Amino acid sequence: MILSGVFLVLLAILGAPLFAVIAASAMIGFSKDETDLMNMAIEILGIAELPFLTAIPLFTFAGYLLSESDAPKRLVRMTGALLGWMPAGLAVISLATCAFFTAFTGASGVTIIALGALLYPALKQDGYPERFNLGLITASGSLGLLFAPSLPLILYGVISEVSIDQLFLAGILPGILMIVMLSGWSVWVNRGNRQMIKPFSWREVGAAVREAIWEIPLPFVVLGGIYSGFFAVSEAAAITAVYVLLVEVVILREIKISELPRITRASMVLVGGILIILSVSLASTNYMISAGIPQQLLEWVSGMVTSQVSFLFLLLAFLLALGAILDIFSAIVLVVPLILPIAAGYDVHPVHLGIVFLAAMELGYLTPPVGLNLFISSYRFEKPILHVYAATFPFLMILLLSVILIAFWPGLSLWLVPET
Amino acid sequence: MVTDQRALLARFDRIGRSLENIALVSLLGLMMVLAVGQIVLREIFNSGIIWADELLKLAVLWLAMIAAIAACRENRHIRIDALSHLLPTHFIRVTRVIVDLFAAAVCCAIAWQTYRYLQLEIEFQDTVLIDTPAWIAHAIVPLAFVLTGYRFVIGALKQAFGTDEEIDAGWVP
Amino acid sequence: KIATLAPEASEWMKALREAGKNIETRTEGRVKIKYYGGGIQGSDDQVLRKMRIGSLQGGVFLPLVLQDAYRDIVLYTLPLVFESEDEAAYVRQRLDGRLMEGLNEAGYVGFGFAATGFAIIMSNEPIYVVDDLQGKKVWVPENDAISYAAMKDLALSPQTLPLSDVYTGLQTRLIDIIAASPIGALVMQWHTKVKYITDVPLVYTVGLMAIDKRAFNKIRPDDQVIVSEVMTELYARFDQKNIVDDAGAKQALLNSGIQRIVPEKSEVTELRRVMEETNRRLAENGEYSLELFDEMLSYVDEYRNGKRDTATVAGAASDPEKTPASGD
Ligand code: NA
Ligand code: NA
Repeated sequence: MILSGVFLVLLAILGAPLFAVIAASAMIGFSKDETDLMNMAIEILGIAELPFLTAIPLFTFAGYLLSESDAPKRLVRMTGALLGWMPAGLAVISLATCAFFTAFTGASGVTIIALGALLYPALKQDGYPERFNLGLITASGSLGLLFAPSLPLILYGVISEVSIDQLFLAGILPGILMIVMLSGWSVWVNRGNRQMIKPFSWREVGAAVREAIWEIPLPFVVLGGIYSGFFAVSEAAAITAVYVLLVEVVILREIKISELPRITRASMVLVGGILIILSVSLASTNYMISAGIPQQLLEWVSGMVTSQVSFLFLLLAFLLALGAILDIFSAIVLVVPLILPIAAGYDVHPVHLGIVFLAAMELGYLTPPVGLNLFISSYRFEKPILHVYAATFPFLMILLLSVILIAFWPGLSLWLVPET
Repeated sequence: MVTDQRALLARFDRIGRSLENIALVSLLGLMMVLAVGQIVLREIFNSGIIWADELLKLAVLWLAMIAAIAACRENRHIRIDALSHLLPTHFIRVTRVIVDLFAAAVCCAIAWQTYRYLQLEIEFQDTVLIDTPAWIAHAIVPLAFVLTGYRFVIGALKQAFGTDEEIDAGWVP
Repeated sequence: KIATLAPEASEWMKALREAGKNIETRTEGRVKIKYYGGGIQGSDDQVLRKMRIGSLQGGVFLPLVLQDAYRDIVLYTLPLVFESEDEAAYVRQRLDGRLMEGLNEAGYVGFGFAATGFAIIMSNEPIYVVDDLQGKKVWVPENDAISYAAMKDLALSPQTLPLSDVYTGLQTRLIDIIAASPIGALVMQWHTKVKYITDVPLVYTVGLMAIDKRAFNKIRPDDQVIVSEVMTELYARFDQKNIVDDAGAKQALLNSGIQRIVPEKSEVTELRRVMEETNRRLAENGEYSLELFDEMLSYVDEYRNGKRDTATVAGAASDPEKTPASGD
């Protein structure tokens, strides 16, 4: 087993496609477990049962269309007009928008492909360094899991029997803390860049708004539609795709119809690459679950716990390790029931525990080697994966710091939660 | 002789590419029509189609699988690739042959296991979309992995026998 | 290896584990059961697929999931068939065995049903009469063709959503109405997003365990008897316990400030009439056997007539919930 593990790691370093490495690890695991390898087929077909699955291709396509049109230019002009007086205004806007978006798409990577496609070129145009942009967009992809109505929050509530409404309230301040810390970092990194600072002018605001008049309704239609119950999240993706198609191809005519097959292909190649990794990851997750690996890991960790402080530290370490190998939904279902009683023993409030749990799992999307957001960025922006690891690293460190703050400052989570 | 073969492969490449594009565009179009149609039916006509969601999900499965073939044609499956900057070119070519053959083997294994599973679906007469045989809807999975595996074999052959220019051009038949 | 959707920490899981240990001791370790809770092995459909290839041996299911294998397994869960727990119990005494036999012929070993209470209407606007339902958006689980047809016949607008989207759906008013058992609503916290319950026993909800017959036949015959004994006893116990829990859950709903609506009898009769037509039509379409459906209804009639007789004799039958079954 160890031998085959070393062998696979070696193949991965030598440049084997990651999906093949992950699939091989699952198949080796299954055969060791004497599980029929047809399990691979069942798990791969299981991608058709993931929440938000249909949103992925539709948002991806819409994102590509937007990025191929002049929409990024218009976005830069508008945020410049409105927030140009503020250092790193566009970066801060990007962080907040992504967080908001992820709140209702989950950390499915949809944010990076839908919004990143628009924001990445926009940031570049506004003079931000490429590496910074890549890190920012990648990190933003899972930011916002703590805000209502994120599905992981709801799932945690159901599994832990904690009130979902209380979790929604508890997530607000920690979620804002994460955005504020990343914004602070963005301002600091770009402090020397004066290009993006412009004086405020109503006339420029008016001109920029007029120019972007067709794109401005989009967020309101999508968010308004979802929050008013007019349509579901998966349908919002279809509305977005159709709307963007109409605006950029029919109304503004910035994209020719003859270009659509090329753009479709480019965007769907991304979808194919991501979903194939996702599907084989389902299989490797299933092997780990069947073999009880998370439980073994937890047993090993919980043996070292002696106090609330050491519990929280080990919990964070454990969750980071878990985030590197499991998706967030499996982790909640599998691990939350196991750690709840331990947490209660060290007097950790279950609502606070939920926030810590999800905040730490957010990081799992950014931790190498297996981090979905890292892969998606690498794909979307056509950058080598190692380059993405490096670009994301400072953001990962800041998020880690914020998670530590959130863990050891329960007041932050519990402030808005009514006493019961 | 060799040029003839290459011309033939290039032609196959063009045909394959077009077929993939047609499939991708139609599937994506189908998804948009279905999803928007659902909203219109619900909000205006107060009704809906019971199998629409299932069909949407199957459309994504097909999209994903066909797109995975396309991704392989363009050599866009994610690799960590830590060593290519550090090692000499001929060494890289040898490792590429190894890892691509490995990927081809994995694809074949998955294709074989999914094929076996489809046999079971036929035996148990599984259905999707009310009464469509499930194996028809799922047949894309083994097919896609066979074709992906085939592309990796071709990629490996090219690394082994191709010229440096061909490899730099990223041409994979 | 048995999979279930029940959360790991639930009482149900504890009872299952206990039963597993009991079986292990009594078979001297020849039969060991490992459970996977919380839906971690995937959806019910995925669990069935895994049973087929032998990577799982059993699962805990809603009858609907097993309908492809054995169509009559859904009979009890047809809308508005039973009026009370006792009536259901009376019918089940006569039919449980037959359904388990049918399931066995389809390749699955079952140990009886555990009732989880009646699903009732939960809504944001009060539903007093059948007309109040018209045009309302109601949640229907994915792939549930029976509920879908029923909701259409009641002039509701059925919306298929995955379980995970129901909470947000209620909050955003993507759906106005759900039909859920009080226990289910409490677990999923849907009760925090509705204001009214309409107290009509809509659907009799049950769950059951199904073991792959090939796997079951691999263990020694005397061990098979032990497994059956323990699991049947567990299911019977849960069947009883859930009735109590159901009453408690309904009370908890009311305590949380939800208003209870009891519609006029004539409205309920109208509702039953429409649903019986739907149920019959579905049977005629081959969704389940018409013969067995009619047999079930004949037992229902038998119970109601019998009860009326006893009621006349006893002279009082104000609360149907408390009148003992006495038809036989
Ligand atoms: Na996301
Ligand atoms: Na990770």
